[in-house]
Amino acid sequence: MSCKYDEIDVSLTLSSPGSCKYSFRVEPSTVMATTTLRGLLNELRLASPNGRLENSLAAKEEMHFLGKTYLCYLKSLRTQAEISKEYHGRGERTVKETADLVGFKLPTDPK
Amino acid sequence: MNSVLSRVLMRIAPPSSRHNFTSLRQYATVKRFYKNTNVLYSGGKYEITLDHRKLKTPKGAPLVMKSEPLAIAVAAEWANQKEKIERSSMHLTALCSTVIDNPNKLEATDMINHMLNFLGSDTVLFQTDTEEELYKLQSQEWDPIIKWFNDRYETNIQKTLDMNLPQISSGDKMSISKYLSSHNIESLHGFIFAIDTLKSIILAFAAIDQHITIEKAVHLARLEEEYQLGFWGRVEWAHDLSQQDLQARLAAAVLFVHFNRSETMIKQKLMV
Repeated sequence: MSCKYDEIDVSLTLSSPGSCKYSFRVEPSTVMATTTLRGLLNELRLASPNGRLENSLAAKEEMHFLGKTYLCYLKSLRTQAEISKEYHGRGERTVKETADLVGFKLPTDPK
Repeated sequence: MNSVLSRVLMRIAPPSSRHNFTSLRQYATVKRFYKNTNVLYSGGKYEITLDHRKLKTPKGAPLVMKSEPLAIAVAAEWANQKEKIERSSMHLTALCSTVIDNPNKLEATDMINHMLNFLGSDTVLFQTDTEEELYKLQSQEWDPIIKWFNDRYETNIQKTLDMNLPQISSGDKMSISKYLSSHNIESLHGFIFAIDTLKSIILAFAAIDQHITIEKAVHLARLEEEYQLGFWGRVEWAHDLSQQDLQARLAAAVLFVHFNRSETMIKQKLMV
């Protein structure tokens, strides 16, 4: 993230005075926001036990993975229950149901 | 006061005079007897309540766990039951109970040895040389995972194409055993559950290490079945059912391992 802000800095110093003026007109709030953000990132970095921010990125990835896994858990259980419900035996079939199953007709059925 | 679960269990396991079938019938029809589920926190551990009663394991011990997200997931399992309690679909609860009751009286070393012995019969190490198309599929899908495993755990495990068992050197066993012994007993139970589900250590490790998703791991474990389905057709009540079952089991195992081993990391994060 800070990398992006570094790029802005570089582009500002290298650009011509004209365009620099133009960009500064929009800048003040952005620059202040950048400074605050950078300060925050720095504080966070200093405050985190390992002195690195990559840790929280890994944690974020892990959270995403766990979220996907839990989704898969719930979804699979639901689908499994639906299939069981659909195909689970419901006791003996009637003569009519059995006849329908194999495509036969009962003597009472119209031809 | 009788605990909820022991009451349920008394109905599940009736006196021996009764016929086995009766117990099965009753097992299938335990009605939901509570309205609300909740998570309690006391003394650094989490417990589940069903209304005002605490959830217990089949042996009657209190069902306690160290991880909050795990406790919430277990509570959600109980909250998700509709008219009947389907205990066969509550894999996270089952895993927690297994760890506490330890019905097979397993020690960490037993579990690690069990897993190491399994390595020689790992699904992905047995590839066919009689059916060319299938072999192409197997080497295309399984070989990258075997390579990843060898790189990640510094082993040199090779697949086999005939009846001979793959050779696992003692050095390979050492590195895997070293990795496994860095885990607590709860996580090891999760590893075993994942391995028994997939019939493969290599795929189970890949799923737990977030190298592949749950769906992908189950697909790879069922690779030959999927291949044969292409010729003979897919039957929903057999193939889809087993696929969903395996996915649910593996997902539960992976969640269980993560919740039990990343506990310190989550605590640290909250402090920051």
